[in-house]
Amino acid sequence: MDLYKVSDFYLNLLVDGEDPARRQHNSNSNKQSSFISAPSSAIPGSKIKVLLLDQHTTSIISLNSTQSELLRHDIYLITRIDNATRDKMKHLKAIVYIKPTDESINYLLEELGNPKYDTYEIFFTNMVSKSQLEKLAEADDSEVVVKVQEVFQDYLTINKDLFHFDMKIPKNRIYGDNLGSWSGFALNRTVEGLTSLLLSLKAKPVIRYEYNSPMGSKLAQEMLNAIEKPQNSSLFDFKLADTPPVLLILDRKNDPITPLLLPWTFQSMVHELIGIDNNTVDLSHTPGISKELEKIVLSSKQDQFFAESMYLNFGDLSDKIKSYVTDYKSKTNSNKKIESIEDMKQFIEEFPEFKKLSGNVSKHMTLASEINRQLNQQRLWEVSEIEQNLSSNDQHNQDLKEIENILNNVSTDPQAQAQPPISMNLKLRLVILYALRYETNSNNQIQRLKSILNNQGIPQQDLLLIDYFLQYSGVRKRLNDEDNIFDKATSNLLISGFKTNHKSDNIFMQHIPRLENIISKITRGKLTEKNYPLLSPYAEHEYSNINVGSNNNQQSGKLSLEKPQDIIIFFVGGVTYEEARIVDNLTKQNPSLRIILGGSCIHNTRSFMDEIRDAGERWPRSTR
Amino acid sequence: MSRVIGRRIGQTAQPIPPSSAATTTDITRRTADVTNERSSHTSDEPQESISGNPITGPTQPRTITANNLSQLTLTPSRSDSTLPLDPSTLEPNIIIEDTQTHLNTEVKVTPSSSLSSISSTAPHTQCKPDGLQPVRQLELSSPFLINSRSPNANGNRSRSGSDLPLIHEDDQELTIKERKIASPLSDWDQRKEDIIERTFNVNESSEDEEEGEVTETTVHDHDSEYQDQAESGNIETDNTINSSSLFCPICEEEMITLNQLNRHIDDVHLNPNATTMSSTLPSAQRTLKQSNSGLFASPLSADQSLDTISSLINKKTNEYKAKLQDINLPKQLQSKLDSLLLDNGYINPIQLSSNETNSSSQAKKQHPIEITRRHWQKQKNNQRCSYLPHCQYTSILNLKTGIIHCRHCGKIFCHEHTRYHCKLTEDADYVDHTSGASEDNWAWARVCRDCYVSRDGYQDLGQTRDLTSTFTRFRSNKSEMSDIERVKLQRRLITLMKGISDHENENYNQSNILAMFSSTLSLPNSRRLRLEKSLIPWQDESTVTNCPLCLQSFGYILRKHHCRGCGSVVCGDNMTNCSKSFDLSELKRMAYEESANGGLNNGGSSSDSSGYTVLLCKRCSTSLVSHTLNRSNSNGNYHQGSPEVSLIFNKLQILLVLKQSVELYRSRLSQLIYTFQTNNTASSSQLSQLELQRTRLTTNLKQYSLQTKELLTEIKPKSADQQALLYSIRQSSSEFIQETTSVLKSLPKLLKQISTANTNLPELGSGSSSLTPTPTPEPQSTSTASPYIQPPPTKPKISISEAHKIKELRETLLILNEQSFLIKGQIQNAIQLRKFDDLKILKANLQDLEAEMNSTRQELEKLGDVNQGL
Repeated sequence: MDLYKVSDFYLNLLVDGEDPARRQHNSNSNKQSSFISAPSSAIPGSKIKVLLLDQHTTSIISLNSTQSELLRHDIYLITRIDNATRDKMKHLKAIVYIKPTDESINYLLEELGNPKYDTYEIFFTNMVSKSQLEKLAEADDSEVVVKVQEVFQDYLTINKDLFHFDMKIPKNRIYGDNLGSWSGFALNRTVEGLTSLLLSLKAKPVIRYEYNSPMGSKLAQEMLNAIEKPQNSSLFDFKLADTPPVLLILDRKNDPITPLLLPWTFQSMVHELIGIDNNTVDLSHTPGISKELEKIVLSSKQDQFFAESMYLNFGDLSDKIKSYVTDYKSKTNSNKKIESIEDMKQFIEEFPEFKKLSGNVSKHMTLASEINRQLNQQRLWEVSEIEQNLSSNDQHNQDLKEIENILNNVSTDPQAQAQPPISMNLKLRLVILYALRYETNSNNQIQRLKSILNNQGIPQQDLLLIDYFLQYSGVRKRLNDEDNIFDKATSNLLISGFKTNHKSDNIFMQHIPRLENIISKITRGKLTEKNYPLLSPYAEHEYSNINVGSNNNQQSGKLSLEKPQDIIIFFVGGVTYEEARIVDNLTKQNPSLRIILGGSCIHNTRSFMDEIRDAGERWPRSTR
Repeated sequence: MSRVIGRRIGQTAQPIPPSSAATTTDITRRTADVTNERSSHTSDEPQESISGNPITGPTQPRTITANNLSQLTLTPSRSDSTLPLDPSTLEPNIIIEDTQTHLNTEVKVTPSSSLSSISSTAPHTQCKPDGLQPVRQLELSSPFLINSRSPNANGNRSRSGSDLPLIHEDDQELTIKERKIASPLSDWDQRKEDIIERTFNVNESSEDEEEGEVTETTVHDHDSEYQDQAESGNIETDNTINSSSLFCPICEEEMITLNQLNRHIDDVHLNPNATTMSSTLPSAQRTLKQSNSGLFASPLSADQSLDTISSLINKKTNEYKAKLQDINLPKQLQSKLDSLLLDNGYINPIQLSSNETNSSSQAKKQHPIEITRRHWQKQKNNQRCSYLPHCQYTSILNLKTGIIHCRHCGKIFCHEHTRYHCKLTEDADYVDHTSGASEDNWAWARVCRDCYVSRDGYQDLGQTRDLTSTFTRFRSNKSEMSDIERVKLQRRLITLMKGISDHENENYNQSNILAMFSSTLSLPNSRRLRLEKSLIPWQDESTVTNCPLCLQSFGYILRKHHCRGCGSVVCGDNMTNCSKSFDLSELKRMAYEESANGGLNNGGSSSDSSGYTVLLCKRCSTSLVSHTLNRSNSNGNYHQGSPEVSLIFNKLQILLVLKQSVELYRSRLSQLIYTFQTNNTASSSQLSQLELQRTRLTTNLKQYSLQTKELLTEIKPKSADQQALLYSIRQSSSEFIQETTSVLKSLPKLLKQISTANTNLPELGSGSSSLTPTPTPEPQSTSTASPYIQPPPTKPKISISEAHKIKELRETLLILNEQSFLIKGQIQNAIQLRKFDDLKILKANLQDLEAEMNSTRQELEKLGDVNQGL
């Protein structure tokens, strides 16, 4: 259950047209000949390939691979299938990798009608319909298609355990016109995407969802249908594990707090303060940025330093970067005194690596300094402290006072007076947090805070967002679990066989996302079926050991008590990098556990607020 | 003895509904139960201090004599001695079958379940006084106060239900406070592991929930820490029970008497860590209760006991809640507790009892199995984790690191590397879930990482589905259809041609078809129209309002055309090309080409266009044309597309051939280097071989880089695609060059090493030393490669420069030879694979090479070197 492994597997399949496992087997069987690999074709040139992508697969491939990596597999040309100005190059073999949308299929039909390349190997990211396949076969008059295969990669891999579907407003809304309803497109997309994810992980899961979430239960139902579809039965025929994997569908509305807080770990912070779009960071708005650093790629797959530091908090990150720079400096220093030929030689030998290192050092330096600049400029240290207190302590009066101070730009710290004022967006966010936190507190002053904001110049209609949030995720909308989402990190709980790792001494990281509690419960088999109903695609005779002695509806009850070893979590309404960190931490602490986390998109505070605003404007006003 | 220690204090016998969620509160409650039982002997006084852990009451402890104990070990403490005394009697299943009361089933989940737990349900159990072991206490130094008592000494039986909650509350308070002061001890985690293991053993009787509780209890109960430790040893030694001697539970050392064991434990296993711990915790004294196991014959019927239990629990819960309000708990925690209680259904006796009956009946049905231990690795004195060298504990394993057998492979690991559980069968095999249902012949077991990961299907990923066959089926279906259509169409057109030529023949006798075509439009239009209409019935044009191809509606401007091929009506729009004139001579050309494909060469086709055209719709004309296109495609017509593209690819072919030869030399060279590095010496022949390979490599590489440069400078990209292609070529070649030079770079150093090693071979030493000082050339500057080559000392009569040149030329020749050899091999290959297009290119390459070789030979001959021709 490692998404990087999955994507490597598929990539190999694509470029080498061969199952890596099988190739391994072959090379084992004839070891002697593997010394000098025999050319697979008469002349080596006939191996040169072109990779044809559509808009969906372009992002998939760019997240999983680099151009030079593909070049090593003889892919000399990467281009889009919708690009009409392609040259005719009959010397090339084409690998077509597209999502089977009607649009892409039409482009492919055109291409096959007038083939520009020698032969075509066609790969689809998801299930292709029979009629689509027939159309393609009819278009292939010149019989250039030599292979058609479905691989299942209809999702975007961000980290080795994090995926998303990139469904962002305004293009791909997920919320329908009513509270708790899907937009039709988004539901289809999610079902397709999750199905392909399950297939790529070879998992046939039991499905669990939160009973209070209409969107979650709808999705769960659709997923069950997708898995149980008769035409998919051959695809979902996997070897049974000791316990069935679990697909856990969670609704963002049950934890609106996590995406509203300023996170303090590297990957999260970059996303929050600068913005990550499918591993690409756009730094062009940073003052004084050099040309080559305007667009940088942050991939834990290709960047070793980032892989090590992505979950570090800002303090540890600074240390890490410092040692990285020192390391770099020591290398440059040693290279400065080139006296002997030996030195020179060493310098030349190390040069490419050296160059790479320096690029990476400056990249991370730039990121860290930009984060630091933003933190100071927006006075985020102050704000975050209040946010954390708000989210994890119950002290209404003090919180209220602090918020009022911030809203009125009053600061007890004389130095802070000189600082730039806190942005309206931040103030609005604080009030939203306050409203969610003290919604049920009889003394709450939401109205008064709203009027303060209004006086500050935030128009009344923007203030509606606060109401949208209460409408979306007010206390009555949230799942009445025994865990309060506002709980502090009490959990150095020594739960049987389940380790967590919290340093709760950091005041900026007091809040622990609800996800952690859920994971800890599900791994102990303590997720109640009342709150988290279960749908099982398994027939009675499979996993019967679980069902022994059970009469009628006891079956699923027993299943829910199983302690799963593989969990796939999907957040309806977006996931955060902070939660990805939690998952990574938990899987490191509990190595027998494998968790894949995903969401309809990856939120930061801004995108989350925008999404709720967009949806809230369409929802009918509540009667509250 | 091990069994004695193995008795757990943390076990509780409270049946718990399986749906209950255990959290802290739950845990503390459980803890309370345990301590409760213990304190019940001391007094009924509710006010317990935090530190004052209830210890042994008036239990009349008696020190065990060795005699007693060994007896205890041998007879596994069963009062009814009807059971056989083989180790399996220790297993819970036997007990379950034996007693048949659900309560006992719940209680006796593992062989290690403690009697203390039983005593907490004592109101419903009846102890058989006869056959009871005497109360005994095993005194160890402070942390190891092992207190074994018989249950009747506990006196729980007589305890009334009413005083129970009281004590319970106190303990609750106590435990809560304890929890507060408890610092997370590092080895708790490890203990937890131990417990999990137990957990999974317990699972055999499917009382998942119950043992889960137990687990947590123990985790939070400081008191049980050391018992747990002891237990961890116990697990390892359970299998030694059937032998009559005593074993240390920790290191499995054999003991003769109990005293010896006591001393041994004191001396060997009391590490300083443990002592400090015991001093920090006020409740340092621990009791370990042990008792006979056969005490479970309940006189009460199952229902009765159920009722009692549920009412008891109910009562307890209420009391507990009341007490909670007294204690000033933080508001949050309290609400949490409340919701927990509700959620867990503790206050719902009906639900409770129904759950119980369910689970008990289930427990009866299941037959927990025992996983074999025959394959277990024998523990050595200095046991290390089998996961070395990757294990963090590089030292000898001890209690703290854990000494755990992987149940599957039998090797010994530390705690950290056995934190994995999977289902195993009795033979310690993985459970095969495919073999239908697999009944109940499995149990959860603790395994090592490797065994966990290497389970079948665990690492599986990447489902795919190959649709090629479906696709080709669709395609062949379709192409058959279109073939038929096309043949029909061709026939019609041929009839048309015939008709025309017949007409021609009428007019001009003996004139051939060719002549016919030259006479343009000799046929009168009316006759021609009749002829064309006779081919296929035309569609009635009045019924057609839109063009079927471009969907435009017909009008005055948009004319209707009848396709002569299929008779349908299409539009005559010049933009959409829905209908167009088809030159009949094309058909003839196609026929020629087809026959040419058949192997016949009919000479040049008639290129003259007769101008005799016929109107065809788009569909018909494409079906005619695309078919012929196919044929030419399958012929591999590479010379389509722009001239730049073909130029790029021609050059690229050469590059790739060169690259291949470079790769060949490189692999040879690196193999040589490898052998040198391993041997660190080299014979002179080996060295010369090395030099030869290196020269070949450098020369080839030089050529390669030159060719690349040429390609990149000569060709000016005309389109984005070409540019991208050139970029890729540059990238891949620069990477390749870098890779190759890195091999070359390692050479000088190596040669230096060898030369110092081979100082006794002066000529080689000098030869190689001439190589060392020159830094490895950048491939672009490999023109300097020639100076390396030393003149062969065997030819003194030739001048140095000449010798130089000869040598150089020879090398070139050699390389050219090799290349031509390579290409010849490829030609063979191409012939075998019937890749005739490749063949053309290859042959052209070979010709070039041979020409070059010839010129080199001539040059060599000029220089008087006759021994060429390698």
